[in-house]
Amino acid sequence: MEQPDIRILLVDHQEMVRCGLQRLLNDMPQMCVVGEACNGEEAVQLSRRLKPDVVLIDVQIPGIGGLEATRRISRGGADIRIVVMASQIDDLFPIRLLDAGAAGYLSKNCGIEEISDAICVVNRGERYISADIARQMALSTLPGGEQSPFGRLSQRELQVMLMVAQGQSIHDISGHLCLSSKTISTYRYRLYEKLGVGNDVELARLAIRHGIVGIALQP
Amino acid sequence: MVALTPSTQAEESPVDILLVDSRQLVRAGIERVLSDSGHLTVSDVAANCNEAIRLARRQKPQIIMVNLPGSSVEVLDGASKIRRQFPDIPILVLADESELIIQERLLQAGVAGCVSSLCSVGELFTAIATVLKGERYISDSLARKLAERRLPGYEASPFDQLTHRELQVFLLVAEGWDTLAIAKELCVTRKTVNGYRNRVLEKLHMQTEVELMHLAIRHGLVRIPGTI
Repeated sequence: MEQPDIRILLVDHQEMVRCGLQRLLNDMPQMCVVGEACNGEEAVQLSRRLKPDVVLIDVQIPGIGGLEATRRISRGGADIRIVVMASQIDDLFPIRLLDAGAAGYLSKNCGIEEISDAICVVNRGERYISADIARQMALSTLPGGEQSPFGRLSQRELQVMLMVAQGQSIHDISGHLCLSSKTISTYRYRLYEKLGVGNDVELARLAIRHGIVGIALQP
Repeated sequence: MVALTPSTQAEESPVDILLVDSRQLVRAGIERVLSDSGHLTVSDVAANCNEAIRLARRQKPQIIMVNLPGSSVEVLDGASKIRRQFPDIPILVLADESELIIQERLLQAGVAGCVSSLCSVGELFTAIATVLKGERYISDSLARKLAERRLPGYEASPFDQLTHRELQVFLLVAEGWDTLAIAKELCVTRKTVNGYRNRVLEKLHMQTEVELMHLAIRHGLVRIPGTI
């Protein structure tokens, strides 16, 4: 008996990419792109209206973004599987997206055949994670690679870390905490070691990625 | 489908485009759209600008199209480098609309065309046809924004006062590079890098490198993976 085509909603912010992927997918057996969206809101609306089998969505889309769109589509109640594509691989994000209800997670550095494999796999109700991402996820769960490296910081270290990540100078921090600059520097190097970073900016970026520090709105 | 120049193109061989994009899937998508037009073909693909320079030396394309995600400093430096190596090949850059300063500097560096990475397929074809004729192409929205900057009363961007080198150092610092790595990348000494960095801090009225990073993120010049 012939299987029906898998109905796909394609979500990407670049029209030329969306257009090309749609044609490439439609050329493959059993794949049928039934709709296209360019941002998160449109993705949610079209998922409701078209009820596709699979939503193939880029994580860096404008509006509510890929993470929130994934959450809303998966909570929408319909039996829709979501495959997320990412341009930059990040060890934290796949877990958040899988938690949000994504069934698949792929690097945009994969080929069209892998996309079609992933679509078939999630359509059967299984999960699909591309090899490069799986490797990163696996490494981050090994001893020494806990989910949040910030959990290992002492109270004082956490305090210094937050101040550094917000852009305060050593001088300011030592003033606030009534500690010498030398002591603050010692904390700072211990932070670098515990967090596996090499400088203040890397430390701040790590804190932002973990959602511990936001982007300062005012200088 | 959008026709390029309907008269002569049909009989001629398709226009060779070297596509620079680090993502295989995106390259495949763009390649398909271009080749479906019938008069354009992706003759080569490169994952970054250095690779593009190597490939262009071997086989000269008619256009180099740059569509790199993420790092604006990579796009600015990479495209400028290609331009210096191949001043006669038009370069078309797809850039993030929010990064006005980057697009402006790209045009100053001699890039033939700048379009939003969110542009329509139709506009992309128009841009390709324009730069192929030896003219320059700027998208309407970018042209409007650049024109606005010339009007009296326009609030200048804090980055306008930075020289090319200072902007480079600023972006690299904001991406978490340390002094040694920046010195290697720019082929200068660490002392020179420190000099640039201190001038950037002074010009932007900032105390620390982390403050520079926050400023760059706020202005959309630097993005942190995993955050929207």
